[in-house]
Amino acid sequence: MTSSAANTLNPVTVEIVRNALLACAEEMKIDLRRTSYNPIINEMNDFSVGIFSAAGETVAQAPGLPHFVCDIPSAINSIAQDIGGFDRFEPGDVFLTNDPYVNTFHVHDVNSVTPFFVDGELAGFACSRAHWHDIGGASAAGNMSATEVFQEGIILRSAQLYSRGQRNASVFRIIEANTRLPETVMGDLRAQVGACQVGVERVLALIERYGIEVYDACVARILADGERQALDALEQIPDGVYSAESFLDDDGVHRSVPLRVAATVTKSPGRLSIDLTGSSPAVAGSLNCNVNTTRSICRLVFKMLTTPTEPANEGHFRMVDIVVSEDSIFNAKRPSATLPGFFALHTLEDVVRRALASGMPDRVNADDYGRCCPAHIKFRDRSGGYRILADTEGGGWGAKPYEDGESGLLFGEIRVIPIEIMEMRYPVLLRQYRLREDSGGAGLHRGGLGVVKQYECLQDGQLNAGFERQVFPPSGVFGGGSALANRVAIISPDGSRRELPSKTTDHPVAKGEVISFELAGGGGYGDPVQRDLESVAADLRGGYVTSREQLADEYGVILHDGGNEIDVAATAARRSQLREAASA
Amino acid sequence: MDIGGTFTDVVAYDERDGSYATGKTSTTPGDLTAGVLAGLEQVVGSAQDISFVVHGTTQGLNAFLQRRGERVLLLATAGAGDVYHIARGARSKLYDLHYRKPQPLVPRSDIAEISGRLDYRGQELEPLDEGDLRAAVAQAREAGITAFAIAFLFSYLNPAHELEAERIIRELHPEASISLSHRVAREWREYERTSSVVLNAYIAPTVERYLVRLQDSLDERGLSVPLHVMQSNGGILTAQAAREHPIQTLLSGPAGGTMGGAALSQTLGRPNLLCVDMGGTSFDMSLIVDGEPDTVQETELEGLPLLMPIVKIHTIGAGGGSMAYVEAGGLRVGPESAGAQPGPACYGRGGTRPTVTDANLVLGRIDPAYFLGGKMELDVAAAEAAIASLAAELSIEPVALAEGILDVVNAKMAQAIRTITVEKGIAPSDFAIVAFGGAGAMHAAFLAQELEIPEVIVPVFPGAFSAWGMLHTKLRHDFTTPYYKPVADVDVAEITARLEELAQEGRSALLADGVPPAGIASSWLVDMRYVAQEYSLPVPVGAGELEDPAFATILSDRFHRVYDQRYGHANASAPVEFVSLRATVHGDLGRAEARRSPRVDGEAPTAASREVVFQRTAQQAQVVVRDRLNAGSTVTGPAIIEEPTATTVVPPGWTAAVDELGVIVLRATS
Repeated sequence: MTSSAANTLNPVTVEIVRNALLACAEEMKIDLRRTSYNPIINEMNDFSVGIFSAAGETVAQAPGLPHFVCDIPSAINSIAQDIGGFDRFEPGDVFLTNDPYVNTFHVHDVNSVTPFFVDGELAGFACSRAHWHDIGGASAAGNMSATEVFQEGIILRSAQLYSRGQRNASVFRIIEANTRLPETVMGDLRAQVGACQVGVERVLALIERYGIEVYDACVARILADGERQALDALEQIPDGVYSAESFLDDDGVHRSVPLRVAATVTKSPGRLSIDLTGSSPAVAGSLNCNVNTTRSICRLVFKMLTTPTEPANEGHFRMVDIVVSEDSIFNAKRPSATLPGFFALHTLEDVVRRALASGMPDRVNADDYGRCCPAHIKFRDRSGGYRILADTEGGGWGAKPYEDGESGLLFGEIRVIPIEIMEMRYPVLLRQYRLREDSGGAGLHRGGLGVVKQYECLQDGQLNAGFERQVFPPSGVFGGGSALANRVAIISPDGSRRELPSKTTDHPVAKGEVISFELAGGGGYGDPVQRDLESVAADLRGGYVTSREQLADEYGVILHDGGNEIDVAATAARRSQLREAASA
Repeated sequence: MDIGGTFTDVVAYDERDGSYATGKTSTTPGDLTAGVLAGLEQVVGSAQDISFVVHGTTQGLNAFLQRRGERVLLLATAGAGDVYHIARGARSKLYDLHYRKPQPLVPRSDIAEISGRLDYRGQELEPLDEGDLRAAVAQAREAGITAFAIAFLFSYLNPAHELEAERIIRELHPEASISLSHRVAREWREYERTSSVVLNAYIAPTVERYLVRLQDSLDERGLSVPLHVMQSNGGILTAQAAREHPIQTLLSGPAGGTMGGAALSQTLGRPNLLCVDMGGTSFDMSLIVDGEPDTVQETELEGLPLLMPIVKIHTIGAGGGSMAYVEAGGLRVGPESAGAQPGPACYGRGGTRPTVTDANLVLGRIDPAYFLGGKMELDVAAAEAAIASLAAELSIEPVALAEGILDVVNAKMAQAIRTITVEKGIAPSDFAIVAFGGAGAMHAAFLAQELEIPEVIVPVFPGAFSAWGMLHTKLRHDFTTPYYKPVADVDVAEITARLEELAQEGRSALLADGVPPAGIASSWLVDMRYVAQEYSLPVPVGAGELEDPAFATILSDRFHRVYDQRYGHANASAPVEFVSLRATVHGDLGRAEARRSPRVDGEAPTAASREVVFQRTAQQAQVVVRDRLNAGSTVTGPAIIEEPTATTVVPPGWTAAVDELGVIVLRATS
């Protein structure tokens, strides 16, 4: 930044440029969503786009999922490192990278990076990252039980798609030859590169208008304002050391060996440190995550608690430190497998938030259903090609400090595929799609309900499913109860149930069998004995709570015989009994 | 007649001499008919003199927004009763821990599951269970519910079960108000269709009662013609027909403005117009492309989806009341609005944060003594104090801040416009702006500058433009039928038969509405997309193309072109499929032709002049009263053109010219 640009910089220009950059990211998002082929991108919004500074910092981002907050910079940095530095980028270049040890959740997340230039100088990047439907590997649509990355798919590390505007046909061919769904994947690749081009054109027009010096000065100022905003918000947390832990069911390979997720959060003046020491060491199974993505999740929790309504930029996180030990599920090293590592990250979100509960009791919710329970039901057609039904259902969310948790809700702008589209495209018949009664954790504020979805398979197929929180259900806070855990089962025509473990790959399903996804609820907030009877009555009417045991044992509510009417006298007696037991 | 939140506007057209008259009364929230009748009396001597009347109502929208609609029992397919509550699981706010799902209109306890199942081809797997229906009706009776919404899976393919359910309910409960999902929205996607039919059932009784009451009051006053109602799709219906599709009246007011744009497009011979309506809290944008209003096939209200054709109106939170404030050391403007209470600082009702209106006032662009035609005196000192205090906080000059507030809000509006045009793959510079609403013409020239748009059009009665637009709207009915097939398998004879069937249905409806056969026109659209894609694009079918043996090729080529225009790339080798067929019929009852005044070329007479700030400099601007402008008059900026309901700002380097119809056209000269 030159001093003249800094001197003439006024808040009006900064605000205009800031809005213009956000609009630019938004346009990229519209473009990607509308042109991609794969419903995981255009319906489930498993993508992220944005504009980045010449140093690779996030300036404006439009994530489809919250998890991707400001996590593209590590992709830009790793490409720069691979090609010998930022000065090696050239106009007309486009790079891809999906290295799961750099910044993505798994090999399916591919970054597309387009540098842009002003007067021959690197001025910034437009990037998009999106989830491809298939990128090779041992199992179509993703292997939940891999033990090394090679079973999960190919790594396109710093692959140069275009060099000075020249299409590198061999890279296109390699990609096309390594996926089971070439048409979809190549369509998505074109859409990603196209979205970046839209971003580049917009930013260059903006720079032309204000000049590169003013633009750079505005970018610096936008990041500085973001930092100041986050610092102001950080002061809502009292200084101190906070900690919490939770457990993951298993690593996908070694069943019944739980993994620990631990966080110690230290708030000091102007800084927040999140130390994950004490979490389980790296595992042989696939439940590992790289440190940059782990950092994104910690940043996400911080953002939700401090500046939830602001579009994110790098400045918002300059005061947050992450500490991860060398040997940790949160510090994946080549060639460990990472595909379902996001389960650990989702649990980490709950743990960091729960750690801060005592510091921010009016902000923190109870645990969620696990946040992402992906399922792929795979059918082969006569010619041997795959038809893959990708489904992600919503579960219950933790009760909030002042009201009940949300039911049947996902974690981003993801949208569940309609039954009418699903049955037309895939050989399934929906049998049940309903809120899972009694699944929410009891509390002064009740946790949200999960969903039960049951499909009958009309043809033989295979199931990949990842449903964490089967062994360790979502917890409540401040005396709130736990929710019902996730479950996946196959129901035979004779009615018998086969329960499946947390992570399932290529499980055979026969024609006529019913796959049952039963999603966890959210944890409760506060002592259920304090819940007002009107709310309990409403829960009974709406069928949110039906279990007499839960009513009597947790809420201390007794019903009249043979109906749904609350016996007020018996309830008062039961509640004082429970209170006494608690204080004893 | 257009009922807004604050005012009811009436515009009358006199067939004898082609002149217009306007009336404005306060909206009467308790009983909207009172305000409508009072407004009518201002412009028409007797209801007997009326030969045509059209009305835009917010009755249904208010019932929805205030959640005062009818209690509804929702009947859903057994096993899928929670579709409406689960919605599609999406959350719109990414980082909001305390996010709330959109509030459904029917509680879970008022949903009844009915056995009976169709498959994805519309074939019956399991018959409808009459016992379940009887139980549901008994449940409704016990709870005192008379409104039913029925949404069964795959009813868009085969409505038999919904129709059967309707018949049974009618038998058991003759006074019931019944809405069927396939009638309200014959499209796939069960949640969206359910949400649409529920909303229809929720507002139907309210809208019905209102329209009956209004029609009766008008009849009592001697009205001898049917009352017409504006629809969200940019067409009008007879009140009789509107009662059967109340959902179509939901957003009728704003659609009137866009239809005004469409009418202007024709009279002025400008095919592409960008309609901008800036009021106190919001900025509404819509497009006229090639003379036609931009319509879409679905929308959302407070997060609840609605499948129905609707004039696409984009709204952002930018208006006269948008507040400026400091966030982490930087300047922000809006979207929070000061509203009417406390309102902008200059309203003198205790507001201390400067707003866009305060900035316009401080810069001299608004006359404090002539706000709302002089009905409200503005407090300049309060506006100055509010601006000065924020300027001190930001360490900039108050005048620079005031102009900066406008720069930021103008840039936001311009970006919003750019986003919607980019979404459609068109360039804003190919458009002229039509500015209306109280503040539209105050900002339009600046938006035009940002977007490199050469012209701004300020219509007559910019404050009552929606009502004016309704007067120029044709009758319209829309029909949809699913047609899910790859292009390779398309059977043209079948498509022709089904489109013709839809159009025939439309023609009968228009004839029943009293439209002469010569005034009826139909048009066809096909929704198409690449195989395996989720989103489809509407592709128009030209006259005679159905008879062309190359029909499938013509349509797929057009699809690739439309796709390329919209998204910047297309894949001509990828297979394309049909999703649904749509027919629209228009009925023309005869159009109002405005009176043209003779031109008297020359500079307009100046009423006064005052200091107005442009580019940080106070400049002497002429102040012109719009009523005194003749056809042919020109005004050279800097200038302010004032009229009771709107102010037009002509910046330096711009001129304003008045045409024979009284329309002001602003053009940049430099």
